[in-house]
Formats: sequence, C-alpha cells, structure tokens
Amino acid sequence: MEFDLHPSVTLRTGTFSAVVASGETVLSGLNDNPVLQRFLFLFVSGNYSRLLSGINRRSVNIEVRRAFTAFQLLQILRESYHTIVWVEHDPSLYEGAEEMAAQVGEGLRQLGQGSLVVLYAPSPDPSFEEMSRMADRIFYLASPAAPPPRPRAGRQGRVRYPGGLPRGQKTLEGM
Amino acid sequence: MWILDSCSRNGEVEFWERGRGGRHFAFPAHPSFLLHLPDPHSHWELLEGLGSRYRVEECRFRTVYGEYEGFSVHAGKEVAGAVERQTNYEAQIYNADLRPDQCWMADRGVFPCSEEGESRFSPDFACPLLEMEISVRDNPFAPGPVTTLEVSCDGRKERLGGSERVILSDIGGLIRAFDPDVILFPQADVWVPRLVSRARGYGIDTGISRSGRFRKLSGKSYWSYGRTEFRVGALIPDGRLLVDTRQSFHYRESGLPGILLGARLTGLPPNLTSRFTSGTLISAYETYEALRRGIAVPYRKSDPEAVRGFAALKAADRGGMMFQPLPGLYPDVHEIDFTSLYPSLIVRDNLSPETLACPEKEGFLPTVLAPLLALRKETKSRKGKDPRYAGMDGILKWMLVTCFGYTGYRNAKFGRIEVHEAITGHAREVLLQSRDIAEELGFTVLHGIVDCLWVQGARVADLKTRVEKETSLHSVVEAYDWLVFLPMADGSGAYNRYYGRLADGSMKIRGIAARRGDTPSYIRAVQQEMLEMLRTARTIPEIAALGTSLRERYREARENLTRAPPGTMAIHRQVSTLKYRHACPEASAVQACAAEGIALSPGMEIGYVVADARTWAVELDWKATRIDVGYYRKLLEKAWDEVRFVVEEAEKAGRRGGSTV
Repeated sequence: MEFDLHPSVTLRTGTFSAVVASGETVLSGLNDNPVLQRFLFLFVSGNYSRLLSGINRRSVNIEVRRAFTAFQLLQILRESYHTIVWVEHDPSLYEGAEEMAAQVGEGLRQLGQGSLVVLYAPSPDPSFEEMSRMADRIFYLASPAAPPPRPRAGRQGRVRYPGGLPRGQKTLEGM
Repeated sequence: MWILDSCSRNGEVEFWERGRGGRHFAFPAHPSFLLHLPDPHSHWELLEGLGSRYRVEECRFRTVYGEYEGFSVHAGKEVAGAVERQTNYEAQIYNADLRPDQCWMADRGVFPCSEEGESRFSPDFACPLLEMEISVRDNPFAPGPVTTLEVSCDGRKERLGGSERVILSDIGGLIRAFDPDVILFPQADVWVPRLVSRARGYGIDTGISRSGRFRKLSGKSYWSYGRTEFRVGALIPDGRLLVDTRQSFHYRESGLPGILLGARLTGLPPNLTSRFTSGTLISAYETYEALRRGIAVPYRKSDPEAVRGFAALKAADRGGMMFQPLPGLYPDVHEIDFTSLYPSLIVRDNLSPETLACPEKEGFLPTVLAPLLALRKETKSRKGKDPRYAGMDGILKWMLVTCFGYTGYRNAKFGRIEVHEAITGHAREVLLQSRDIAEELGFTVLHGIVDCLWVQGARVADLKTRVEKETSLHSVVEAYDWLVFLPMADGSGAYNRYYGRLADGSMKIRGIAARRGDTPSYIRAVQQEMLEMLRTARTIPEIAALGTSLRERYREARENLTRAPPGTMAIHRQVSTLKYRHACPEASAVQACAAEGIALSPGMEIGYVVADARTWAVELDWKATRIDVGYYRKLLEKAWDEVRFVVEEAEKAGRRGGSTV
C-alpha cells in the first residue's frame, strides 16, 4: 500500500518515515485522500494535537489513541494492528524521560517493518531528531509562502451576535 | 506518638514527636519494589542476575486491575529503572517511587498529627502545638544583611535589631528557649536558607531545626491548569513545622488546621503538606489508601486509552457544560450549587480506571473518595456554625477539586483519560437534567456553569429537593437579593464575571477587578469600596439611588491617581517564561529583575509598576518612583465599568418604573 502525502512524498507500507511539515501541508495530504478510506488508520497524538481538529472525519476512516507519556506511546505501538500508524510528535512526552525517545524510535522502526508508520512534527526538536535517526526516510517540506500580514484588528473583541443579542431566548442552550 | 515530622535518609525512617523534648525515633527501612514480567521465561537471565545481587522473592500482588504473579525485589529505584531498560520497558514495576516514611506509617495504620486511636476521617482533633511567629522587615529579594526581625511566641513579642550577627544569635536563643513546634514565617522559604547560611558563616546555630539538620526541597517550575507555576525551594527543618505563610497556598486557604488535616489524610509530614499542591496531596492520599488496602502502586503510567473512532472521541472529549447568561441585573436569584460534584459523580457512578471495562466491580477511586466526601460534607455543614472548621473544609475542597483533574493527569497513578471524560459527561447530564427540572417547575434559568445553576422563581426548596432526589447528589442553595451578569466586549454575557448581594448581606464576587490577583491595590481598594456601597443596597431602586455617590467616588479616585504612592500601582503576575518574543510589561519586568541580580524561574511571581505603556517601561514594585497615569486611568476605568454597568441597569429599570430588569 502507498499513498501520496504530497506530490513529492509517497509513503509506503514497510517503512518508517519522519515528516517535518506545516500542519496545512499535512492536512491537505490526509483529507480527501481516497487511499486512506480503505485501510485501518491509527492516529496517535500526545497531550495536544495540532492536526486532529483539522482532519475531515468524513474523508478519512481513522481511529485515535492519545499517549500522555512516552510509556503509553510505547504500549500503543506494541498493541497496534493498523495498516497506517500516524504519530503526531509531542515533545512534552519526553520531558524528564529523555532516554525514552530512543526506545520509542526503536518501537516505530519495528512497527514500520509491517505497517506504514509516520512520525510527524511541525518542526524538529531533540527528541524528534533522536527518533528520526531510526527512520527509513526523513522528509522536510517547506511551508508555502506566508500571505502578507493583515492589518491589526482593533480591540473591540469578536462580535458573537452581529444581529443583536438573542433577547427572545427562553431556554439557555449549552455552549 | 503524635508525629509532627518525618523523613527518610540513610536507610532509615525518622519521626519526631511534638512538644518540648519530643522524642525522635528511627527505624530501619530498606527499599523494595514489585516486579511483574508478562513473559518471565524470556527474562530468566535478568532474574538470575537480580537474584544474585539482591533478595528476590516470588510473590502474588494486587493491583487495581487484578492480581499479578511476580517478584518482590529488595532494591531501590535505580535497580527498578535498570530492569525497565533491560526488558525494553515490558516489565511492570510497582511501589518503586514511594516515600519510605509514608509506607512505614501506612503499613502500621498510623498517620501524622494524631493521638493513638483517632480516626483519620474525623474533623475533631486537637492542634496542641506551640506556635512562634517570625517576620523580617527587610526586602527578601534585596541583597544585604538582615536589619530587623520580629518574633512573637506565647504572648511575648520581641523586636530584634542590631548587627546581623546579634540578630541571628538572639533568634537562635529565643527559639531554643521557647522550643516551638510550629514556626509561622512569611517568605520563610526565601529567608531561612539565607539566615541559616549567614548564621553558619558566623558560627551560630539558628535553632530552627531541632536536630540542626535540614532537608532540601528543590525549587521547580511546572505546568498546571494552563499556567506555569513555580514552587520555591525550601530548607525543611528536622522535627519542627516551618510554614511559609506568604507562599503556602494551603496555609493561606486553610490555616494550620487544614495543613494538619492534609498530613493526617495523606501520611505526609505537615512540612510537606504546607508546600505541596492539592494535586500532590490527593495523589499522596490515594497512595496511602492503596498501601493500606494492599494495592500495589504503579511506577509508570503505561496503560493508554483504548482505540476509539474519531467521532467517539469528539463526542466524549467535550469538557464541562456552560450556559451563556444574558448580561443584566436580576433581583431575587437563587444559586443551586452541587457540593463537590465531580468527586460525587466518581462515587455515585463508580468511575475508576478498572471499572471502565468491568462496571460491576467496586472501583478503587470511588471507594477511597467516599470517606473524603463524607468528611467534606461534615466540615461544610459545621463551618457555618463554627469557623474553626473552615480551614479543614478548605483543604478538603481543594483536594476534591483536583481529584477530578488528576484522573486525566498524565502521571496520575490511578488515573485514566476515559474516567476524566466520563466524569464530565455525567456532569453535563446532571446540569441539563437540573435545568429541565427547574424549567418544568416554572423557574427561569439565568446561567449555568458546570456544577452551578442560577435561577429565578418561587419555592426554591422544592427545586432543591427534586434535583437532589433525581440526581442523588447533594446541593446547597444561596439566595441573592440581586445579581449582575456582566457583558463581554461584544455585548454578550460573560460566563465567569458576576457579583451580587446575598440574602445574608454579604457580597459574592467572581472574575472582577477586586477579585483578580493582578489588580493594583489602589484600583482594588477603589472597587472594593464601591462594592461595599453596593452591599448596602438590598433592592434595585436602592442601587439606582447610589448612582451619584458611586460616580463621585470614581471621579475622586481618577483625580487622586496621580497622588497615590507608586507602590500601590504594583501589578503582580506570574512569569510564564524568561524569554519573551514581544515587548510586554512582563518582559520588561524580567529584565529589571535580572538587572537587580534577582534569579527568576518560570512560574515565579513578579511585582512591577508600568512607568511608560508606550515602551512598556516598568519599575520593580519595591523601587517604583513613577507611574504611567494614562495606563492606570484605563485600568481604573475598566474596574469602574464593572460597577457602572450595575448602576446603569438599575437606573434603566427605574425609568421603566419597576424593580425588575
């Protein structure tokens, strides 16, 4: 199995790839990708995810697990049975457990022997680099040119009800 | 023995009794841990190697998930770490990072700060401790010798002056003479290391430690509830309770009774309960309970959440429920507040990591939280009649508040994110259910946040009874004569900025300048004075009648701003980082501290006065000589807006000719 994350990046089963790219680049490669509909796709994030909220759940058939410690991530990799395993790197998992980066890297490499494994980060950091040493391939994708800066907004705050307050509201709705 | 302090060092646990000449005990305590290997045969070499160096015994042990076969290894944490690495982190290790003094007490069913035979869960315990108060007049962050020190103990007050050597010698003499159990000392954790170091230089013993020795608690920055916090390092004296009354959150919130109750519940010495966060206390409490029940405590958090579909995750991970209020002034409002809602749901719905898969099993978390909840209900009901219970109630409140967040904390020994999500899910149902009941009974629901509902209507007792019956949760009701929900910048209602006059004549305020920690004292005092004026108004026409005097007070405050001492304009904030990318007052304050030679860490609080808002020039609070008047006028105006809104709403109601808004 293989899929194109980007016109210049083709990812294949049996490989562990490390990818450094902007969130937009990655999301445009994941969303509406017909290949990803057909295979078991596991998305693993850490304490926070930059990608999860941007993934179109109708276009990708994914399952999710979150690892809050490096030990949990290692366990998730051991238990994984998916065709594609996408790990969104969270450097906070290795704070105080720096030695675990090499262990997780080894876990990703081993899993990559039978699955398509991706370790993704928007920018590299020491723990990402430690793990990507085990990768078969490393991709650095340049961000698209930034649009010109928009004029600074005033301090009025966001207009929640542009048409006026909902005075006729009888029952409060949960936010 | 009434244990006042405990520690472990050099293979022993040590305990100190309270009182003059209190005894000191030491018992041998050798470290050990429990080891479970999913496939022990594949690690026979490791086991053989372990057995040749340390005592290793085959055993069965209990965890919250069930019984395991394994080994008891009589070695320390370093060996546990080596076992983990050699097994590629397949080994499951338990009880490897526990405090030996806590284990010793839990094994024997004893706990600090108690007489023999007392219940840990009783609010009736004596605090028979001799207290001494010490304060230093000098600036703790300015270099230079100590020039004045004040001491009071047992009705006697002393002001110590003279050379630093004389002051340190005198304080040592006084402490030895009174031999207090407790020293209450503002900024103790900043001053004591300095005093001890200087005294050692002079060859003097300060007497602060009963053995002359101190244990070092390292300072650290940590991330909590979206903020960088800092715990200052400390020198903890042997055998005596030293409380930093300025920095100890639990002392400020709960006083000495709260700290002692925290020690009784967690099995930690009060020197630590006064310094640890509520999260650490609830964790220590759960650990003590696990040890008491013979349940092994996991060393690593390695059980991840289950595989879920994207939609299931989105549906589960939604946090607390909030309704949005319409901004305005409302007469005769009732607030129905569920007591310790999240822990009550843990107990009511048997929510625990091991019950996710087996809901019929009695969960560890509900079992250990139930007596804590019962104690909280007791202290909450007693504190209304007897303020001595307020401190105990305070520490229980914070421990129970954090027990929910702790279920989702990544290093929680007995936490799991699905439990965290289940709790918020049940809480959302409870709030919606309560809203439906209220509306069915004819109440108007004004606002709701997670565990509180604000309603207008008659027969609130009926509502309380019905809600409690249908949810099986305890609630309390507060009645307001009037309540204001403030608007946000776009005119819609703010969720967490409101205040009002309670039926007992007191004010309850949330989220406004007088309540915020970073409001300059000048502005806080002005707003508090205005709130005090509003407190005298029981009805909305009475609020409207105060309009003129409130406006006059604002005008006066605005004029007097230029004459106020610059120190009263100090803004106190915690620095989240030491490397700011953009110009801001915190960045300037960090630079100013560096120029003064003050070593800062993320999470520390700094005080500064804005001298020029265009360039964000600031002066440190204790050296401030000038202020940016325009900047502080804007801050004052924002504080006034929070009061002006209520006045204008009351005046509008008056013009409409009714007392309702």
